Amino acid sequence: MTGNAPILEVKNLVKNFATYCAVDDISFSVGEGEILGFLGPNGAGKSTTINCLLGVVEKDNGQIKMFGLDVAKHRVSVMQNVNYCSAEYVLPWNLTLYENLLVYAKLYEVKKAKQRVLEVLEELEMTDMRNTIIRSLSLGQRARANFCKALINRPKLLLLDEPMASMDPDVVDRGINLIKKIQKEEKMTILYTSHNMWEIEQVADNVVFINHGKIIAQGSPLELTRQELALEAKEPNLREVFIQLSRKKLSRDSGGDKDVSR
Amino acid sequence: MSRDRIYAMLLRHYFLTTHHLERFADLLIFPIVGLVMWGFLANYIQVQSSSLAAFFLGGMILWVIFERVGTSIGIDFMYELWEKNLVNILASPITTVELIFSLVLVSVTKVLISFAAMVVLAILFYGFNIFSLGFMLILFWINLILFAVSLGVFSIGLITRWGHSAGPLTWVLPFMIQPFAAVF
Repeated sequence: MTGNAPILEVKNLVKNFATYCAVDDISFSVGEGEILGFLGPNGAGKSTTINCLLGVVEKDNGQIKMFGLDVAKHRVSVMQNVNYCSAEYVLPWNLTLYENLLVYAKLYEVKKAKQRVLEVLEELEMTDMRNTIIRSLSLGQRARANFCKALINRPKLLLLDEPMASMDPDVVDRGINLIKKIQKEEKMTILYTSHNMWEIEQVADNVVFINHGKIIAQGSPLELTRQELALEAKEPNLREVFIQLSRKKLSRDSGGDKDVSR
Repeated sequence: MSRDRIYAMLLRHYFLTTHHLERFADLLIFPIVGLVMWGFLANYIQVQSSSLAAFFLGGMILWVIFERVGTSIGIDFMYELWEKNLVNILASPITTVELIFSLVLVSVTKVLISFAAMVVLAILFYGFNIFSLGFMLILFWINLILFAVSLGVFSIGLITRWGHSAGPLTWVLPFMIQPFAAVF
């Protein structure tokens, strides 16, 4: 989408749960160094897509390639360069921050694991909390602890599934600045889902909008705003775009889009 | 299989045990309390028949191996669910075989600690040495562990398929098998 070599390519991905189709034949790609906002209302299929990308959930059809390799065939080597962060999944509560990061450093086979843990703690200004048990950290600190885990293996591709859900604006602002800084320094490729449109406007180069398991719009935040709201728009307004697109009802029977918002 | 990833999981459960006092209960207190309780019964029975007393104590020690390994694999897996950490683990490069192998290693290590404590206490308190059962004990021990591991992996399968609601089966399954476990 940015013209850079694709780091992540998803082709015709399908995932069904019994009779419910959670992800319905979607295809997209993310170029090297790009931040892709992956948006959609609750239950649209975002987290299922991410779980398929991680191999946590088995896809029913389609192909997922990361760094040009088929994830189904090369999962172990691919995942050493990928990491994941979600506010929904915290690090184990009864371990200290240092212990948690050491476990994950070993899981990702990081060389000089102890040194890397200290580096990440320093980078995210959490050195003082290294011996603190996770359950004693505040919500904002836990979000940073999750980021520490997500960066432990210096990932080339980072999957962020609502990493700052239910955080206060100050924490979100710090988190966004952190993501921007890290992405710039490490030239990381990021897939970012959030329901906070301000976050996406701040970081995303491009946006894919998914609803009922199907991609219904994609482009840069400004392109989408012009496409969905007003051709003459000068600033992106993803909040309004989100509302507009979410209210478009997909007519599965007819195989097309039926707009019920107007 | 990667040694680093298996070591990571062992480290995770080592840290978990050192931070959870109740895990020491699982490791030592429950097996010892069980041994003492059955030991009193065996002492009473010894008056009638010493072989019957050995039958109870030996059975108790062997049952603990089976029950602890069988439940520990499922419980350690459940900890990842309780602590909402399973997706983080599965999103790492770890393979299913490595994850299960590390859980088996953790439970066998724990049962070795419990077994050692029980053997020593059975000798000290009741003068019962389980090794008097001879070489066949080792083969039987291996057999029990393999059976318990299969049961533990089966529990993981149930939990993965049906989630938390299948969790209590981790504790129940070994007792359902008890009459056929051949430990007594």
